[in-house]
Amino acid sequence: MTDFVSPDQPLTPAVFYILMALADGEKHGYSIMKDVEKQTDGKLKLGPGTLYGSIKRMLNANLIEESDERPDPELDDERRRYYRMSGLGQKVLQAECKRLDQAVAVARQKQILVCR
Amino acid sequence: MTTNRWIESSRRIFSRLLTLYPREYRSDFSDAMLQVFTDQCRDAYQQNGGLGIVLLWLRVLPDLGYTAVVEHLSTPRASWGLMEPVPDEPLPWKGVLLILLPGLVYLVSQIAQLNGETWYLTVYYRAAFFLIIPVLIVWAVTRRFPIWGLIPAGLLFRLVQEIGYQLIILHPNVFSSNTLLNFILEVARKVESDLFLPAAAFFLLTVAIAIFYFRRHRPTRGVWIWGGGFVLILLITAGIAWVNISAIIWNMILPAERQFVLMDLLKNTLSYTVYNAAALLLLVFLGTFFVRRHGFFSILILVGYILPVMVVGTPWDLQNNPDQLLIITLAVMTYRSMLSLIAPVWMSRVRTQTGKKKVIILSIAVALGIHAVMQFYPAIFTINCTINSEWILNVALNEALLVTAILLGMALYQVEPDHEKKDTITGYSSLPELVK
Repeated sequence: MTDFVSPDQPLTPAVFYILMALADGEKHGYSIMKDVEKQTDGKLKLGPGTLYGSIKRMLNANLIEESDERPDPELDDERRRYYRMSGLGQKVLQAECKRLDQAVAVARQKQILVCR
Repeated sequence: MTTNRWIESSRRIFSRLLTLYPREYRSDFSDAMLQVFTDQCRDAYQQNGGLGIVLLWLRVLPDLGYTAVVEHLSTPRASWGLMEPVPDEPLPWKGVLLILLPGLVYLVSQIAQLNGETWYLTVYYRAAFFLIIPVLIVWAVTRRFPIWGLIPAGLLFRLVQEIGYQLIILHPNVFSSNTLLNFILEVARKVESDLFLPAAAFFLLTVAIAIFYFRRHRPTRGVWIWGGGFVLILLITAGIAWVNISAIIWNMILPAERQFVLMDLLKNTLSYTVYNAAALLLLVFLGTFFVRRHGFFSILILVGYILPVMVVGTPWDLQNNPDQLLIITLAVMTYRSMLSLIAPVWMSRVRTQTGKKKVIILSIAVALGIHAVMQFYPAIFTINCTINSEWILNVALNEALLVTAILLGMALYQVEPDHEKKDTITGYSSLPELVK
């Protein structure tokens, strides 16, 4: 699994930000969508198709899992489905963040990014 | 919770649009997607009223259209039938109809031939080149060879084998514009002058594919029997040709130049026999590359190969012989229908591999039976033409070579398609889908 945890290629923005959204805890689809929008200052607005297409692939890849528990079934619509990050998802996210961190460090070194 | 006419109408329309997604995808995610869209509508309406809903639709529609196409192309189960067979299930009609397309083209061309129309030859020789185009496009876009491309692939192989090098030689102007094309032209000329060269290349390629295949799949008893049978029949056919022609050369006192002509004839006959057999054997083994995805349906590549076989020669003077026309028409149409329409549909609708095997054996047996009988049609219709044992033996050997090749193919293709891996996409295999 080492190769998987250190992917050679970057994750797609949708997958990356969905994992970031789930880093806080389990969320339902719309909540993930809002979180992604907030993380990117509204630059990445996922449509329902992109959101659930990515969720499907991430479920297949065991990066996330569906949660059976609901925060409060009385208050919540039972059609909502909640997702949480799996152990593997957490490792993939960490590896991706490390890769981005290295890229940013190199960019700073080459003065592409100026430190403030 | 906020709800009004704008939101309710949008919800209804979105719910209808969700039918654009594959059924399996819908059953998993349509409720959740509808819920998310409803939430988006509520937010958009609260922020900007009706305009917010319109702006939301402008964002959602392209996303929905794009992802519906992506899901159709990427979900294995959704494309089963359209791209590959459904395990242990009849092929859906969408797949069946696409499989039938090349057969329909050939049937139409056959009707034209029997009516004495000349465009028949255009269709006969060129249909394969055109039928492969959509297959190649779909293959390039989806990186999956579609099930309905198997018959056109067999057809194309046959046509390239029969007239490929001649087509190149007939167009020297086209093939002399640069070094590479000129090289191709020279190779085609070399092939035409000595068919043993491509035959040897075909055999070597076949051996390489066989080694590659048998490393992963242990050869069954059937493979040994029919493979051995094929080689034996080829040796007998070549041996008989050699004996017959060399008997003429050695038993008759002929001038040197006539002996030279006969030697040339011997070489040509042998090389033609070996070339055709080597090409057929190569196609049988090329079919193994499709087994992983299409399982036993790979046999359709051989159906494509035998589809354009001349059941009879170009009919002559048939307008004045209505009885001959009727018999030939019936024979030709039965042959083509059996291979291009009945066999694929029947095979597609049968669930089990054993059932499919029976269907293909029966269909090909009927077709080749017609082919064999019609080899004697000049003798049936022409006075003063008798059928001799040599003629019968030649026809029998030709048919036997085809039959053993098809049985060898059936023995090789009896591997279940590899759908399991696609269904349980985990870890490494799915990573490319998640990265750019």
